[in-house]
Amino acid sequence: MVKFLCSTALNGFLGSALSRRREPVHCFQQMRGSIGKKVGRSSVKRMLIFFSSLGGLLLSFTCFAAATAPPKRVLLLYSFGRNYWPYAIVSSTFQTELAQQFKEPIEFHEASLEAAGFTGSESDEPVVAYLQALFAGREPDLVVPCGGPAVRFVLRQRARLLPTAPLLLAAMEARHLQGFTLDTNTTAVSVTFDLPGIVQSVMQLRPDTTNMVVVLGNSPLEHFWKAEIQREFEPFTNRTSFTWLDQLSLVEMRERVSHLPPRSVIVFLGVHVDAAGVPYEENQALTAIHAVANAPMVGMFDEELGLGIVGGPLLSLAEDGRETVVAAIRILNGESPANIHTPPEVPGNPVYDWRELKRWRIRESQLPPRSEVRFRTPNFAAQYRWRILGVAALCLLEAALIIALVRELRRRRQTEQSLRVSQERMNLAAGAAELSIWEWDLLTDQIWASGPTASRLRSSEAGQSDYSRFVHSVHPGDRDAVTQAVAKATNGGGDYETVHRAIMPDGQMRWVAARGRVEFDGKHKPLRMRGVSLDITARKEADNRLQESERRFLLLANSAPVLIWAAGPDKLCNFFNEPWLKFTGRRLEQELGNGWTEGVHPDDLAGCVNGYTEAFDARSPFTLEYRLRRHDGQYRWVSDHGVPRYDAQKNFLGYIGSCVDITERKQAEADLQETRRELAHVSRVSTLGELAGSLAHELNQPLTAILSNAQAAQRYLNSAPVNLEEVREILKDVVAEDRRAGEVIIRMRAMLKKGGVQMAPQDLNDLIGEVVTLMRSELVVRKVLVEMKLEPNLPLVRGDRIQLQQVLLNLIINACDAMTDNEVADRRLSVQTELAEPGQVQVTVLDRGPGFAPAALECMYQPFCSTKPNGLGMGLAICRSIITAHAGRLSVANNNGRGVTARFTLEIYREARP
Amino acid sequence: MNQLLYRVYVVDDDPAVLKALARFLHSAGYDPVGFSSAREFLERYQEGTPGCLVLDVSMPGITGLELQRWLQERKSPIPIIFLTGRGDIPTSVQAMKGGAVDFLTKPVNETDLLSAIEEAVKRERQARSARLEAGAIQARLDTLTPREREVLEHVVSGRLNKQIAAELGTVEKTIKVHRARVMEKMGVQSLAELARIAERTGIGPTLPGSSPSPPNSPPP
Repeated sequence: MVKFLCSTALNGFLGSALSRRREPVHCFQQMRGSIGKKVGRSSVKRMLIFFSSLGGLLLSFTCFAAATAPPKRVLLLYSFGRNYWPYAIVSSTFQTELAQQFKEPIEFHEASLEAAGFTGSESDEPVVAYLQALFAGREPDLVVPCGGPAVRFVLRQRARLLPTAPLLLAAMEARHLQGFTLDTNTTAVSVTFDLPGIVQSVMQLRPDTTNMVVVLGNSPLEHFWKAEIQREFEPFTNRTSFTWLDQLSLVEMRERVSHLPPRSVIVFLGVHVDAAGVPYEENQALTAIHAVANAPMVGMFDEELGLGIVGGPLLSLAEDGRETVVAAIRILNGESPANIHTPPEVPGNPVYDWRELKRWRIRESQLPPRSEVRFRTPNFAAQYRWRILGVAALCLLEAALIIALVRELRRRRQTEQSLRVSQERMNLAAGAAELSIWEWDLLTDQIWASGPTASRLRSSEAGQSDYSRFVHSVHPGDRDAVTQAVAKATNGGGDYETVHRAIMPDGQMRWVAARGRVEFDGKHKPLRMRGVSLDITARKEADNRLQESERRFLLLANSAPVLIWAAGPDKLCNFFNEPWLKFTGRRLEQELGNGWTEGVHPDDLAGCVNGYTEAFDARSPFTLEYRLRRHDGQYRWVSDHGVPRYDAQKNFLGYIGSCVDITERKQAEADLQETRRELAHVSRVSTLGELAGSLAHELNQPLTAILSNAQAAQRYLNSAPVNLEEVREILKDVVAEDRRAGEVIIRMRAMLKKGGVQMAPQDLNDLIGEVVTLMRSELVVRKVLVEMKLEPNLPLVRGDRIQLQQVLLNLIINACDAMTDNEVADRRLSVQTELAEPGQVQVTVLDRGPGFAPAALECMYQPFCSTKPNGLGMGLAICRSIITAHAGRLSVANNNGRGVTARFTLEIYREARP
Repeated sequence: MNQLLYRVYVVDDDPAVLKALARFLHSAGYDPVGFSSAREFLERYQEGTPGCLVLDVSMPGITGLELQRWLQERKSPIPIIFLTGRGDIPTSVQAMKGGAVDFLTKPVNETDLLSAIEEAVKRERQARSARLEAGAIQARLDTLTPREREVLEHVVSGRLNKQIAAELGTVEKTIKVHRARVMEKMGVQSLAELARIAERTGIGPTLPGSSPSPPNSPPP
């Protein structure tokens, strides 16, 4: 179906009802003095009404034309209809701007091909006939086909239809011109789509895109474009898939785009007519898609920005329209179209919609350089700044008011409360009958009193003055003091204060604290004394009990056979018992505070003070051993045990501790250790004695090498010519062998030495290696083969090198001894090291001898228990004592099959390895 | 290597000692060859090569004494000088009984070692010439017929021709001829000379009435 539209725009008025987005209302005037008329945003329906009133408009045109030159006639030929996206932008801009800028009146004619005439067929014919009829005899001054179909139509029918009219091809993509040669009366203002650019732009925004959904209609024009787009998208198919929605109706498209898989992007290329044959004007399709899409959408035109596309490099159709106007004016002014060359418009710098970027979480840092971001929505705070401030101020004001009110209320309550409390206190005091208030009128000698004082005075004998009665009630032992205090106060001092014992009427004695003040007249004569008395008997008794407790403690502390001290929370000592002072021979003042540390042996001082301070800070009990100087100058070892003290309320009060002299115990321990060391030494020497022959051999080897080398050197030196190189080599070997001999001697001497125990980190593998080296010759003579299975990453242990070697030596000799009667091939012993239980290293020496007899097993760790003819019977006993002293365990047991397994474990050395 | 130098095999498990000894022997004009074990020596030693053996007593694996015993059993003529780091009397007695040239303690004195080697050289030389002589005599003995050999055995036993003839059941004249042929083949001029050679080859006097003893088997 073909539909025709024709309109004329008159001077002074053109309602560009079609301008659709940016300016909701268009208003312009053409030619001075004409009447402006506003035309609001209109729908298609309103446009039809608009065109139906065409006649009236023509009328007004005619009237105007009578006065001036005839208006220029411009034919706008639409491809689909004037409202179709995106040509409408170009054509409306064109009409508006041309009418404004061209100085003469213009008569616009419009015709629409609807969907017809794209490919060229008999469907052209009615249009051709219509236009021929319309312009018969008078061709338009300018023909402007808008969009690809219209352009192709005009170029096809040029000769038949409009042979002489200048042609301005508008609102079309440059590739529509392919296959046509433009005559001299024709020019084009085109745009160029950058189709690959769309995909690249998407990849930049969303590099992880795997699915691009192409929204495109199903009209012949769109078929053309589908082919073009498919061709140009082809290189990207290895990076993303393309889903085509052109075979769907818009309803189906909406369904599809609302359930797109993740990492999809919609490419909106326009829907003129969907697969169901429904045409869509203006931005219907775009907004319909955008409303339900679950993926970001990109498009091609600047005018789409703000309608739901994210953005990218876009073509401005309005700009295209303006370019068209420029070309149109030049043609209307008589210039030859052949002279007008307008370069095709290409997409400008990328433009993005801020709201869409936010919606799809695209960071602005991802945008290409020189990008422009539009539709930035000011954030809430900025948008409503003054309103927020106003509301906030109001809130503050109200809050202040509320706070003030609450305060006032609380103050009042507090006042009431304190009043009540003070009343209660007074009642309590009176109820307890401990506090008395009294007043003594000196002029009348009358005493008024409340509480216990009153009863105390009342019950006294009658006839006496109140003062004498009062004095009488005071305990005889305190009377003098009280009367003196009264005299002092009344004779001018003014203040009275005593603590005295009072005898109550029932004969009970109470402690009373009294305080008063005398009032004098102008001549310094005492008038009266007022004051209070307090029964402090309970406090006094508590004080006495405390004193008694302290006395008891002191008695105990001073008679105990230990040295006792106490310190306050400040770590400073505030008590030492007499035995302590007697022990150190110093006075208490000398010991108080930190004075006691002067008696600590200088070598122990640091350890003692550190231990004390650390325990104190941790509030934990401690036991320290240090030497303390006795009165005779001798240092004695003491064991000092301290514990923290707390009061009933769990407040920390300091420490209390006691020391006992442990010098004897220490000495016994040292003696024992010395004995053990001696014994170990004796055992070592005797063990080495057994190895004497081997050790001699070990020394003989390097000595032999040295001697032979030296003799060789002598001979070389006597020969001629002297081979100095050879001699030098010899001397090098001599030095090396001498060192070897020296090492044997050092090792032997170390074993023979009676040194102290030196605990140090040791590598058991090294120790085993040394022992086996020392025994090498012995093993050769005994024809014993040693199999070593040493754990390569054995941690260090802590121990005395010599003693551990002694143990190893003993165990290996035992193992060798056990195999004396074995066949030579069967004299094999194995030495293993391994990681045993957590934190333990284990050494195992395994032989293939006959094993221990049951009787021997029972006594094997006992001294003087031996299975060997010449054995001293000390070996295993000493080994075990050495390993025990190293905090390890030694065990010897018969194997299931045969032979004996001797095994010891030692703890891993804890500090970091070097 | 000088072909004329006297070969001395040294066996010691201590590489430093081995090297020093070899070096010393080289400086003293010998051609030393070192081995770090008895086994290595046995693998590489070619029997019959002239030379002597300087042997460490205590070694892992095969000891010096064991090697000596082994060589003895093989009737190897190589003279052995023992070295030891821990000389004890039973060991030295055993070594000397086994035919060792000497038994020296480490560290070994230059003079002791060199004189021991000289002694070994001398002994070996003697042994060799004895061996050569024995070979020559044996070669001559091999030319005798069985009858001549019988006659020879009787002759060196000091029997008269008449007695021999009676024993062998022939006439005196025949024995005389045999005897002359024997003297001629053995290249001797006198009976005394013949007796000496025969003794050296182990042909002893045959006692009257006893069967003649078989000739010695050639050395291996």
